[in-house]
Amino acid sequence: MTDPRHGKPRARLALGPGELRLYVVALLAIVFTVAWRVIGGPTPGDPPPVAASSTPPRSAVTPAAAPREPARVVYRPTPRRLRVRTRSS
Amino acid sequence: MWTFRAMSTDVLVAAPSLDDRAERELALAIEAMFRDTERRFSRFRPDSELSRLNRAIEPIEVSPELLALLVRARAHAGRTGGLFDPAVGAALNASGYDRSFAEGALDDDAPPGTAPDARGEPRATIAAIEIDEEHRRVRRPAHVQLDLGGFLKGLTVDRAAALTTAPVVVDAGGDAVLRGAPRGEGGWTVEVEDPSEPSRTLATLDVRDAAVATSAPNRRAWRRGARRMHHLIDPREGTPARGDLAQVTVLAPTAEEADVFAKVAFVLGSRAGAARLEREGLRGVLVTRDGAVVTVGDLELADA
Repeated sequence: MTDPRHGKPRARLALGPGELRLYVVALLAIVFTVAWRVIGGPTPGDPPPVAASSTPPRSAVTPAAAPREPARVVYRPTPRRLRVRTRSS
Repeated sequence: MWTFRAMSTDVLVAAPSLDDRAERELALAIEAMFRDTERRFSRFRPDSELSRLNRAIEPIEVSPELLALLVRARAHAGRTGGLFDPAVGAALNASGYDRSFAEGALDDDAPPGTAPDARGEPRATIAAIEIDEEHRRVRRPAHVQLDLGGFLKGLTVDRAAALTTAPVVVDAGGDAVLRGAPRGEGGWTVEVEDPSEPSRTLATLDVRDAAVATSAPNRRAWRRGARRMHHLIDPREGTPARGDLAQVTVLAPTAEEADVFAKVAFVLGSRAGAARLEREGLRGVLVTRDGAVVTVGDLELADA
């Protein structure tokens, strides 16, 4: 088709069904990522898990049936005003 | 802050001025220290060095660490005239506390065993143990069984806090060291539990550069026949202490000392116990069984 004003071919957005799906998926991914950051979800750059052990991380090839070593220490958020409770134990 | 379970209690480590990684590494080092100490010196573990000593019928060589514990415990026994004495293992066993404590696990319809004193045995005291410090050899009389219990926990809390120079709280179920203060604060807030209603706070204290420990019979208690037993043994009688106190909280320079004198005051009762704390220059909160609160030393209590 020719643009009657300039005699040049008219630019046209011609998307096939496959390309359209890709655009939609990409758009949804962007929306999801922005929403995730807004609600404060973890990102790959965040500090590691709440439970810690001095042992090295398990390999991805560790059999799923292998018993998991319990975490030796567990992280808890420090309250703004930490209170120590003394009692008999 | 980080928590873990050791010595049958919850341990908390908080060093707010450290970054997350440093605080985590401190907590891991402290957890390892507690685990190792419990493994070596628990009277409930048959493979511990303390159990080996409690079974030995001949003199044995002990590790430098156990030797140091024995020497320190003996010094406290001497300083308190035997009101603190870790040689209460046999009395605890006779009263039914012969395994690691769990709620209800020690209850039994049978009455308690005969206390060692009532069996005609000589009074069990750490002073009767022969300690050859030069050769690290120890000879234990057959009737003396050691239980390092709370004393060991207090000492471990002190050692744990010494792993950092930063402001820190190390709290092992109420035995705590509170060094420095959180940024912008004058001290750490310590809540004293109400022994008659553990969900209630009796008072709060502002604590800086001190240790705290509390002795009360309300948690480690069990039933033998019709009798209610508890873990605070009066070393003079070899039976659970029967004074007028429901709880003693002591503030001292170290958790070791706080634990020792909380027990001493509990055994002595409110009048003599408060006088003893005062004489030692320690601060304390004593709660009688009828609910009266006695404070010793310069303490500002804020009602909860």
